[in-house]
Amino acid sequence: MASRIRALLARIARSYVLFVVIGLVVGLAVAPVAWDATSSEGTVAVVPVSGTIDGSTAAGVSSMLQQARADPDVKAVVLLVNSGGGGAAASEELYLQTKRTTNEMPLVTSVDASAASGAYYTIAPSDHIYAKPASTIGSVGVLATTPQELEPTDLVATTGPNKLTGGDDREFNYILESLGNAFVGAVFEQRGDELSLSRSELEQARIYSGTQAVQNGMADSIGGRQAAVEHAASEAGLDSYDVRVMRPDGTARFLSRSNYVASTAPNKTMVSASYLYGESPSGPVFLMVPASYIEPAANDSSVAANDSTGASTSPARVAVTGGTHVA
Amino acid sequence: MWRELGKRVVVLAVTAAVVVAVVTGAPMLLQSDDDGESLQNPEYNPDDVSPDPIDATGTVEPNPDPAADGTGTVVIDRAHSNRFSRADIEPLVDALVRSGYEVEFYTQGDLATHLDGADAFLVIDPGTEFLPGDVQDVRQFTGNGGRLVMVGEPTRTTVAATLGGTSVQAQESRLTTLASSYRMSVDSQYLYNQEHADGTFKHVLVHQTDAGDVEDVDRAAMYTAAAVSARGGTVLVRSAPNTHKSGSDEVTDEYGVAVRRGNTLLLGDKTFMSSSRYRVADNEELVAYVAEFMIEGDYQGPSGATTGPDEATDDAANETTTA
Repeated sequence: MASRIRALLARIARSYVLFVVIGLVVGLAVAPVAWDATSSEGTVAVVPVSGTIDGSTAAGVSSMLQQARADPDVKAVVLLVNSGGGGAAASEELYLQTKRTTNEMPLVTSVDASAASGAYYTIAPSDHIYAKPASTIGSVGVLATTPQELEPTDLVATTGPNKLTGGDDREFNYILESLGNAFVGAVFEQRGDELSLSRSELEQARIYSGTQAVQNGMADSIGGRQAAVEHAASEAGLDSYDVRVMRPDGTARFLSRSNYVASTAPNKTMVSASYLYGESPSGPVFLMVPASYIEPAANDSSVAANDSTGASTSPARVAVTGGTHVA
Repeated sequence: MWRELGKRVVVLAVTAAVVVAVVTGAPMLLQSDDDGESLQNPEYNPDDVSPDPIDATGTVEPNPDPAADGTGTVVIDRAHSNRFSRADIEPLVDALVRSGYEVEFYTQGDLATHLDGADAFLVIDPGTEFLPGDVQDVRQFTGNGGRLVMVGEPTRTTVAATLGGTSVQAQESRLTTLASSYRMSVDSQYLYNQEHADGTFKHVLVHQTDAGDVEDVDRAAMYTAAAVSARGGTVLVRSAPNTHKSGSDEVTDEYGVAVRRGNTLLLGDKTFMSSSRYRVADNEELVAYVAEFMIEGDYQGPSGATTGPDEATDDAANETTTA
């Protein structure tokens, strides 16, 4: 009996069958890994732009875009936008970052709840903009508190007549106008071929729905995140690709409840308009947000209670009604 | 032995050098050099982005008709919660005083008494309507050769302090009763122009018309102005082309902002003549025109006066127009 078993083993050992079986087992085990290693031609990086655009937001998004540009695996970027804008300088920083990115690789945007004002500034260089019917897009313009008339006074000594205010309110309007011209000029530089709006119409700073935006050229197509990812991959020539969702550090701050609800940011919070203006603004604050976003009644319960009595206001409230602000 | 040790040291050094070169060089080779390229931003060309401010260098030099008597009184209304400051009227007052005229304020009492002997009555942005008796006094004044200048404003939003904090309120020019008795009206909406403006769209540029007698106002600036109109009157100054009324974004026109009807002048903005704005563009010429219009008033006392044909005897004088 033992001799027969030894003979069988010897035969198996001499045949190729065993090695074929072992080869199949090993091959099947290794194949998925090898497939993964060879099938992806590149990565589509998804960069969220969530909440009010301030210095922190701008730094986080800029960092993610820089990482995407520096990573040889990343062949395209998708901006996932859910913001009503924010500070003017921070919005301009993001515009420059997205513009730099589009110079290097395809960049496609998917607008979630909104891409208004400074957020639209951010996405203007995109190769393609997807919006949903319920998205809100537009509000291309700048608003600011106006400087207070403080001269002449002996309360503060200065070396020049404009040291306190920076200039009179007429000059201030020219400053504000130059910010607005830069904004509108940038939008036309990036999307002039697509826009059916005239410069004057764009300057009126209207908000549009996603479908209206597709009609007037502020967006390109109706679609969601998946469409944007697929479009970005196609633009990059990727038949097979990985998707890497990048996450910024810190908390996304929202002025708009609709944006807050739509956001998938893991850390998010609502803030009142005073986050942008301060409690008692002492000087000009340049903002790229729709005035409706800084209506305190929309998201500040304490102020909303006062508003119900008709006896409350704030710089933001006045901005909405056009009293002392320029929008 | 030392030779063998030296070989090993050389090998060690070469190995270390290779390691250092690989560790430091590889990331540099892998790193994208795109960020090193400068980004071109032609859309931010300063000459295209920064508008050139309009010059503000003029002086008000009234040049009234030689027939004007060179002395007299202008009464300024202060009895109807009028919203203007000293700075708003100082250039105009200065021009009147330099022309030999006195300026008085009417704050209360019988209006006819105050106007008796005056050459012109100036009403700026009243917060309350004129009562019928006052309207009659003014009409009698203009009917006797006195000049009336009304300055309105569009409805504005203001912040007012209250016991509960502050509130946002609409502030209207209450000129309907007085202006409509002259078949004139002031619009409630403000004008804006995105192409022809002094800094921002609400600061519209305006120009004289061929029909009126305003001269040298090729370009003036008005600051949140209202359109004005007068049935049977003459438009003296119009806004630049493509001016909008607020709330009518699709409609543009050249709206009248200064109209004259007989002895009455109606303007749609008070700020153009303020201390900080009267030098802008040709504003000083428009201020001079207003001063001349008042100086050239030739009021005759009620005892020997005749009623002006276009006003007091007008059957339709009591019609109320929409303001």
